[in-house]
Amino acid sequence: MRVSLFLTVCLSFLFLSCESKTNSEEENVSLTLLGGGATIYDQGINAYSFETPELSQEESRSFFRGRAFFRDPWVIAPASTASRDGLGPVFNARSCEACHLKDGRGRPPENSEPFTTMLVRISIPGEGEHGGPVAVPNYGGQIQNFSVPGVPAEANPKVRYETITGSFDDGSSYELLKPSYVLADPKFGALPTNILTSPRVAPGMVGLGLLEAIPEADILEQADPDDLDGDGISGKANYVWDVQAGAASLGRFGWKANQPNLMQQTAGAFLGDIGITSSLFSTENCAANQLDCAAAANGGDPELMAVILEDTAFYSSTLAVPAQRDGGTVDVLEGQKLFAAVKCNECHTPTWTTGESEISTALSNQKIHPFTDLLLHDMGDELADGRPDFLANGNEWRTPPLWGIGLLETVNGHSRLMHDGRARNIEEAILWHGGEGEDSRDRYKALSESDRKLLIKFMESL
Amino acid sequence: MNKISLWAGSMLACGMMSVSCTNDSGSDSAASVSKTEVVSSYSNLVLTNYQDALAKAELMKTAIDAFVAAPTEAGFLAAKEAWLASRLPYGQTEAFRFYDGPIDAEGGPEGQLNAWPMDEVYLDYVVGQPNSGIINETSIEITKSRIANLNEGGEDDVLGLGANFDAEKSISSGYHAIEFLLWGQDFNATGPGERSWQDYLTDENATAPNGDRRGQYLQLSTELLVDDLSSLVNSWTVDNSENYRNKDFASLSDDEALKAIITAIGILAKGELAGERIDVALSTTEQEDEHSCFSDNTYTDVYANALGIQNVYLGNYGDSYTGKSISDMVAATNPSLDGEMKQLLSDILTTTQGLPLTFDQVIATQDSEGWAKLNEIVIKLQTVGDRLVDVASELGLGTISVELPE
Repeated sequence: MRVSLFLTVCLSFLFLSCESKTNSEEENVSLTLLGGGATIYDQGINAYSFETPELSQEESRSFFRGRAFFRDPWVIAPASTASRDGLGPVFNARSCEACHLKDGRGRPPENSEPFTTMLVRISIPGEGEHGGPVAVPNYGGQIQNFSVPGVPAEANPKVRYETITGSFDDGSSYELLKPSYVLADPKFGALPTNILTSPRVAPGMVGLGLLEAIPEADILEQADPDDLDGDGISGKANYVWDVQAGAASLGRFGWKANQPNLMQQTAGAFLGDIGITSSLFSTENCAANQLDCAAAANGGDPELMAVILEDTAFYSSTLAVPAQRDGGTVDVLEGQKLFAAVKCNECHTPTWTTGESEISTALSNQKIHPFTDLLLHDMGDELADGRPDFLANGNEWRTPPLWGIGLLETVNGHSRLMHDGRARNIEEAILWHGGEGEDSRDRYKALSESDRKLLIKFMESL
Repeated sequence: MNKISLWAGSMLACGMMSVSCTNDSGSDSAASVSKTEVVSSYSNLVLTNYQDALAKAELMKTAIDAFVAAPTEAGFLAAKEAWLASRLPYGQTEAFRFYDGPIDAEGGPEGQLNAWPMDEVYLDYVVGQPNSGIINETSIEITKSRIANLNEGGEDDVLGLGANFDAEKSISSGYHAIEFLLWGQDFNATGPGERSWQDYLTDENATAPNGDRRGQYLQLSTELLVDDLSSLVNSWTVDNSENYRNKDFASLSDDEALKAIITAIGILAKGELAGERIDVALSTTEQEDEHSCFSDNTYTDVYANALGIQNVYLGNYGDSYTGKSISDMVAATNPSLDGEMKQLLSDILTTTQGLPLTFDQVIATQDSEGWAKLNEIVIKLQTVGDRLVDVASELGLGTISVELPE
């Protein structure tokens, strides 16, 4: 540990001495400590679940309390465990971990499973309060497909896939799964014909506090919303409503960067996904005509104690990032060069340095390698959900971080990627890139089979 | 009142047990202890502890069967006392979790035995909902396999839209389900829940509908618990060549086995007991943020977990079993580490015994003496976790992680 830290510090100095953001130099950076000081070395089934090293004793206690709240199921009100009741009345999950299984990623349902680690956001066209999406009358902003006894769940989302084919430049072919979605059994009247839907899997939890600590000015420096430099890549900042600040703030989290910080993200998920009200979001999720929902017992006003929200948000901010594996091997280094040559780097920005973290000094001033610019990009019509979310239009998605991606199968037992989990592996995810990602995708398709494998191998090392 | 004196009585007994343990060990000739002996002694300890847990559960079953056959107030009290007595041995067995052993490997009975928090309204009536729960849903036939399936997202979990599927748990079996059926919801600031024994009547004196179904559920969930504990005993018996002990545990090298054994008690100390069970409650100061919330018996849960950790370290189970121990090995090469471990464990048990009032009342005020004592226990348990990492390294087992309760 000490030795590798020392090495990394040396390497960082090397890198600093020739610091500039050109790709050719980025590709030689040691990535071992993907999360800087918030990196751990476990590569097993619990690799996403470790606390950031160097937390103080008090912080560590908060992490473990948060961990308990993240994992324990909420129960129906009224229960003797008054701080743990208030589930629903409608909900997507009974605990955070039900979707973020082992702090990892969700996936689409298989066969006849209901949606469990994935949900569907809904809205109708227009701009709502503070510039956000407009709720669907009688349904709200998200389909909750479970409910407590005596209260109807809203609807039952289903997905179907059509196989589409394509080919690499070398003539070999590939297949992709193109999804289409149905909201079956709507319980509160027909859904409007102009409904907009956005299916989303639960994203991974590692390194989130580090992303929150990247200085806003540094993110904005990379933004180029009108593509003034003419490279075909925009990078647009989303500005979203910050409930505590009572003002618009830079969006960083969520598939469309529609949450400004982890506290709000956590409180939003408590309400939207589990049905737990909090000081930030104090109104139960019952649309106007959902009378049984409104009449159901609640678990207090609000249901979520402030300390539980704080600990859960702290936990969500301090899950450490697993270190890169095989970073020094020839194959991975070759793949890293190809990643840059194909210009994946343009949006999946490899390296940042965090500023002062408001969450923990353990997250401050760390050189990290999340492989995201936290900005929105038009990803083409094939990936579009057509559902605007604050400044994000129907074609735009936030570049997701890539750290931890190589351990997905180990931890979560699947390798489904993209916002709706349509990609069955990393290669399919690359092949789904359209819009601003199209040129990179085409450069990937032009690579030889062995080079394609090297590039994937590099990504699997992350 | 009765509960407190019961508590005091059982603590006194435990206290004597732990004192005598502390005195016994250490006098062995430490240098002669081998890893093989310690691992073998551990297996015996596990078996002895599960046998005790099973014996107490069987006594509980006898009391519950008698009560359901002819409900009386005295019978109800006897059933509750039997439940309380069953918790002390079971709590100690939690030191055998966290390494994918028989208790919590995939398909293991942990969730069915001891899950928390209970979904009260899923099982029986609650305040304001007199007809809620499986017990009052007369279309559901109550059978043992049905209880198993209804718990924790089993195939008949009725909560939710998915016809036969749910992603997460509705907890409706195990110790805490039985506890709920015996004590009822606890909205009482100074004592446990006050369910009436007449909840089990079907005549005009009945205090709730479906007394017969409630009795049936109580009996069958107790039977299920006895079955699960029997299967755990069978996993650890000496004479079954196909069980976990002889087939799986025996196939581990001594180092692998010791690593699992020490990691398990480290996780129980630091993550599970200190973090998830005590510190959470210290932070929320919610009276019922405690595992045995209906009976207010969480004190015993904490004590039993800590005792379980000490049992494994010292290689004994009360007067019933004494064998070669991790402590013996550590003492041979690093007596000061061994001394620190023993002192910490003994301090934790002593402090737990000295806690005023019951757990739920202790956690309710942050500036109280009891809160401060529990806080001290948390810190010492975390230190135990850290020292166990040192113990593993002292025994040449490499680096272990005790960070992940699961």
